[in-house]
Amino acid sequence: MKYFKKYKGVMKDEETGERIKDSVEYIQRESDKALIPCVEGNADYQAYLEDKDKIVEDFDYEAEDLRQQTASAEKKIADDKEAEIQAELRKMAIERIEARK
Amino acid sequence: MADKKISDLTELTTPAAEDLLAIVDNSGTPVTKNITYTNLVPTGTTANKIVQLDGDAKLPAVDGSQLTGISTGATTALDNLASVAINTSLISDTDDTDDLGSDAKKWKDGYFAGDLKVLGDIYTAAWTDYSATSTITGWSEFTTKQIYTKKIGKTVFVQFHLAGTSDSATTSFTIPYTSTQDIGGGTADVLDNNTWFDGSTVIILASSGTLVRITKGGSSAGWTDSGTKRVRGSIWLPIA
Repeated sequence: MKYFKKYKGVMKDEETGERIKDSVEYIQRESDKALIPCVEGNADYQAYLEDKDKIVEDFDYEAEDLRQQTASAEKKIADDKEAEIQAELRKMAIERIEARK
Repeated sequence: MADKKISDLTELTTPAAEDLLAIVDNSGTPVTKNITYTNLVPTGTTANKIVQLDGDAKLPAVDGSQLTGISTGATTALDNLASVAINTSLISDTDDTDDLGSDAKKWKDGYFAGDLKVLGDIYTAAWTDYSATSTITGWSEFTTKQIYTKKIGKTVFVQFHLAGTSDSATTSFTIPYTSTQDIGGGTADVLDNNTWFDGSTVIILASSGTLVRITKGGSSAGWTDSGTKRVRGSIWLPIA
């Protein structure tokens, strides 16, 4: 199984968006993106330790930031498009009502 | 008059039964009128008698209802209680100090026909934040990460608040207890991709499982894998 090692932790300041170094180190399972703390008592971490075929890579924060920015931009475009369509439909409805008068 | 003694008796007469005190020569008769404490002091347990220890150096059975200044406290082992059932309230001599049992020495079962009033907390395991040990799916980063559990007997209560950047269409976390039943319920307040969700959410926990899944709109994979995701809710489960 493939994992990504998240050295910087997973906490972020709500106000500034700055990443906060967590006291616990995490790995992220590629298959379902589960965040697994590297602590005793976590069954997924034990499975990770016992997985002889595991592949471990550093987590790519830049790629993650880019993915988030792209997803956010795509959502904004979709929202704007939806708003534009709704405005056009509203305009057409008003025009029809006016035409019937 | 000090340090004087009777060394010789003269003017002897024969003792009579009505004599209060007779001093008798041992060589004479009867010798039962010698000055001895048994003759001088009336012992016994009836009125106006002086109590005498018995042959085992113990007090004989006497009425002690007028005794004062005697400590009435029981020992920790309660081995100084009379061998009869308690027929009065068991009340401490102070407030908010004495314990009933301890972690190492627990009472077994308890039976109460009336109410049980507890001014402190009731728990087997008090509220504990498990978020640093839980495997959480659905976020790449968090601004809030809380998964509190409290165990009372064989029931566990879970309160969670997770918020941050979503990176998955599923939302789940693990807890340190295994449910003995399929659970589908609970309540959750949900923000998905920066938008509050008005539809139904269900918190699911499979029997024999430790994974809590939060579904949105009836689909466990109905989440947006970007933007801000926030789930805040509670569930309770039975455990073995």
